[in-house]
Amino acid sequence: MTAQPLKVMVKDIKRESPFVKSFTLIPAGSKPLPGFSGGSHITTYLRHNDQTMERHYSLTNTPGRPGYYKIAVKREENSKGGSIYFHESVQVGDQLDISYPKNNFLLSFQGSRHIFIAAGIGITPFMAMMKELKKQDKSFELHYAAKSKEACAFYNTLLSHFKKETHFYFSKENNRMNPELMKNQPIGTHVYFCGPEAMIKEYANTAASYGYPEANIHFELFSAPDTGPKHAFQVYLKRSNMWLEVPEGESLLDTLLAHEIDVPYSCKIGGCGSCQQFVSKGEIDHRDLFLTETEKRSTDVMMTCVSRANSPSIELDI
Amino acid sequence: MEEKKCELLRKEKIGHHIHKLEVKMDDAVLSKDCGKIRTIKWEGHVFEHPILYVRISKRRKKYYLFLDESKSECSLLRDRFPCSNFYLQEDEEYVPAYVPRNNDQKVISFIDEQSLFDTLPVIDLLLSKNIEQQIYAAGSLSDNKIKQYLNRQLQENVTYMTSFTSTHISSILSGQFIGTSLSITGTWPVVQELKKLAVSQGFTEEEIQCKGVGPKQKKVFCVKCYSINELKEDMNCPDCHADLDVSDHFSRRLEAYLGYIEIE
Repeated sequence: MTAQPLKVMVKDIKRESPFVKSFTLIPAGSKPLPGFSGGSHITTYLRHNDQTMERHYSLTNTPGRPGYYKIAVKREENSKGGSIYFHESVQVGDQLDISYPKNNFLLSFQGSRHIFIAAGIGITPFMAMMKELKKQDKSFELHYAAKSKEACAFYNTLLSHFKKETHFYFSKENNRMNPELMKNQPIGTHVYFCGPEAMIKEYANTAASYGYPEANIHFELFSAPDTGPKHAFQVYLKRSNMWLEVPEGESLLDTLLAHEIDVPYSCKIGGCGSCQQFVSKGEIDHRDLFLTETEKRSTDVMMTCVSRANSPSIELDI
Repeated sequence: MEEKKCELLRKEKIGHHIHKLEVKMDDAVLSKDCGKIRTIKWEGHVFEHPILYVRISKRRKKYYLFLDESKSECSLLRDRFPCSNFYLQEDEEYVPAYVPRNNDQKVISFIDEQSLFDTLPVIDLLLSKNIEQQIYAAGSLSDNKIKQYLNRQLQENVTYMTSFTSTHISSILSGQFIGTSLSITGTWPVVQELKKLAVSQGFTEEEIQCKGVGPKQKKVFCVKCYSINELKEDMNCPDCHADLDVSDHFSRRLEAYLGYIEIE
C-alpha cells in the first residue's frame, strides 16, 4: 500500500549549528519533485547493515513547487542510527530513497494570527510555514528556545528573514521561554508547538486553560509519546480467518506488517490516522493523538501503530 | 421523568410578567446546571408551564426559577402560585441559550427581546462561575423593570442597541481575546448574520453557540457559478439558471448546502 519511493540526490550539505546539518535534495531522475505545503515532512529510507531505517524530517524550504527539498538533521546523542548516518555517511552526490511529502501539521486557513513555539530542532517545520505565511503577507510570530546563540540552528537565517517576528530564548543566558506568552492573544490566534513531548504537553495544557479551542492548538511530535507498558495480546483477523499474537513491546501494526498483511500506515506515532482499522470485537486501548476524546468513546476504529487491546484479544475486520 | 419536590425560599418580580424564585430542592436535585421545567404540581393540580431554572448551589440544592406569567393561560397559576411547597418535572429536551465551556474567561451574549427570557438563567450561571460577561441587546426592550434588573445584575456590562449593525458588531468582536466565547440568540436570520461576522473575525465553531427561533432559511451553493442563494423547491440557480440537485453536504464555512448540476 506504500507508494514507490522518490529517488533524490544530495546536492548540498550545510552546517547550521554544531549539531545540525541541512541537506538539499534534488530529483535523481528527470521527473520534478512533487510540491508541498508548510509543515510537510518526508520519510527517508536509509539502508544500513541490511536494514532499512525510516526517519521523518520536516521540509524547511519555501513551500510550493520549488523543485528541491531541504531537511535539517540534528545529530542526536542517543541516535538509533538515523542522525549519525546523515552526519557521518551521507555525502554530496549520494542517492537517497524518500517518501512523497506528507503533512500532519497543517497551517490553519481560518487562523488570522499564528504563533509558532519551537524548542531546539523543533524549529524545522516552522521554517517552511513562516516562509509560506510571509509570501501571503499573513500575521505570525516565532518563539524559539535553544541552549545558546551558538547552538541555535538557523540563527542567522531567522535574523535576516524574520527579524521582526522572531523571539529567541537562550537558556544559557537564563532567558527561558514561558507558556504565558500565549495569554491575552486576539481571537483567531492559532498556536503551534514542536519540540520534546514534555514541552508540547505543557504548552498544550496551558493553551487549553487560557481558553484556546482544540482546533486552534496544533503540535507535532518527533516520536510516539510514552503511553505505558505494551502488554501482549491476540488479534483475530476476521476476513482472513487468522489469529496473530502481538508480542509484548511490539505494535499491532508491526505485527501485521511482519506477517505480510498489506495495511496502510504513515507516521507510526499515532498522529496521522493512516493506519486506522475497524474493530469488530474486543475492547480498544486508545493511545493515539489522532482521534478526539469523544471519538475514542464512541468509535469502533483504532490506530494500529500505537493503540492496543484492553481485552485479551481483539477482532479486526481485515 | 420523576416529580421532584422543592420549597420556595424567596420570590421577586423582576419584569412586568417575569418572576424569579429561589427554591431549595427537598431530596432529588434537578439534572442540569441550567434547564427547563415542563410541569409543576401543587395542591394536587398539574400545570404545563415553561419555567427555566439555574443551579446556584450544588451543596445546598438551591436553584433560581424564572417564570413568565404572560405565557400562562391559567389564572390560578397567575394569582395564587406559588405556595411554599410544590413539585417540578423537567423538560429533558431543552437546550439552554449557552452552556459554558471549560476555561471560558468571558462570554459575550447577543440577545433580543424574544430571547431575553432564555438568557436570564445563563446570566446567573455565569455569575456563579465567575465568568466575565457582556450582553448586547437589540431592539427596544419595552419592559423597563427587566432593564433595571439587568443593570443591577450586570452593572455596566449590558448595552442596548436599536439594531445590530455589521460595522459596530465587527468592531466589538475584533477587539476580543482568546478565551472569549459568543452566545448568539434571536431570530435565525439575525443569528446567522452575527455568526458569519464572528467567523470572519476568527471565532471558531467551538467558541460560538447559537440558538435561533422562527424559520431558518437554508442556503444553496451553486457548483456552476459559485453563488449562494436561498433553498427553494425545484432549485434553479437564480444567477446562472442551472437546475441544481441539492445534496446534504453542508459547508459550515459558507453556511450553505452544496447544489450539484442536475443530470437528466
